[in-house]
Amino acid sequence: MQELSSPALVKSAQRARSKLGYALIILPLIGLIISGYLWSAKAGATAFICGGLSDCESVNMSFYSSIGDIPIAAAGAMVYLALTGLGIVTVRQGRKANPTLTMIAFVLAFAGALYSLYLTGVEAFILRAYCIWCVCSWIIITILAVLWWRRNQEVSA
Amino acid sequence: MSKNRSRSRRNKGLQQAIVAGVILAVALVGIQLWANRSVAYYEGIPQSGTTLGNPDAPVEVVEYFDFQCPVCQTASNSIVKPIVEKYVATGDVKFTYKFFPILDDPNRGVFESTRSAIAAYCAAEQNLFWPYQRILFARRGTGNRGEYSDRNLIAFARRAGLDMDKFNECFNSDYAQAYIENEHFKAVQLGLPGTPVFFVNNQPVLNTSLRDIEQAIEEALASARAQ
Repeated sequence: MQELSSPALVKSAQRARSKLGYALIILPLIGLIISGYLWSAKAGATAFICGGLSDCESVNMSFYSSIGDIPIAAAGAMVYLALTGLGIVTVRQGRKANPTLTMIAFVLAFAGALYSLYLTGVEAFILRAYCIWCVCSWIIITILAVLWWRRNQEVSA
Repeated sequence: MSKNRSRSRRNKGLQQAIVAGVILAVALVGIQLWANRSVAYYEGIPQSGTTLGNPDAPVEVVEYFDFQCPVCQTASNSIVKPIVEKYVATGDVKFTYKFFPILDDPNRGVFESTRSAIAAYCAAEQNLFWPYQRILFARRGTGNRGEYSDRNLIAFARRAGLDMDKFNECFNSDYAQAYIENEHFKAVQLGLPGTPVFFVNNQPVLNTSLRDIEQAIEEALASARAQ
């Protein structure tokens, strides 16, 4: 901690922490919007818009797009909602954030990233069709896993 | 000392979190595969092409059908399913679907009956006709309104777990088209008035009702037992 004794360094560390804090709230919110959109498109409430880049409909109508009767997009929306909540709570708590909460958030994000990796593999090797929104969600959840890992280290330092 | 102990506790906590994350992800994959393996009424029964059941069954029920025909869609649940559960599962009857696509719209150049029959034939080539027909009938597409567009038929094939390279090759082939045209021709030669038409051991059943078909099956079974 000695190296942080200079006011400039303390300020820079605080700025970095606040950027991390914003990311922990904004990224799951973006993920929530994407998942919510895919969920409503699967339910037929809106059309699949992929911009000609991919085949969202094939992917989201496939055998792998649900767990029983629960659409994967709905499960994803719940995870992002939980991560948004955990982000808000732990960012407000600052350095004294509850380590159990940050650990739970990391486990959720890490498991989500691995599961999304599996689903992306399914798109590439089984369905041979990509859903651009699903790939975006995979990138977001992977970044979140890394950020929550860092947050955990900060809190338990 | 205390700093080292705290660091080691922190590392241990993170390691446990990683293990928990991996277990959770693997569990999700497992739960998904388990939850999605719906036990269909035809599961566990031998399938060959569009035929379901014991190849040596004494009685054969044949249905001429069109995926766009609303009565065929209803019959798939109200007639075919009970027959499969009651007679095909026991080995007494084998059930065969025969393609008779008659509801295309040549004036608009839309051929969803023929295209869905071709797609189902390609699924039959991979012995996955039964899961595929279940998906198609569940969509209840009628009137060439796009429910059985090529794009959807391909998406349904993915959903049914078909080998997509083989499916696409067959779906765009001349031989699949020729097979369906030939099936249509044979049905016309039989003088079929429309769809669905059921045959029990080559004898047409005049009324399309479960009761009449069951009665015809019982008679055919009794006659087979008497021989």
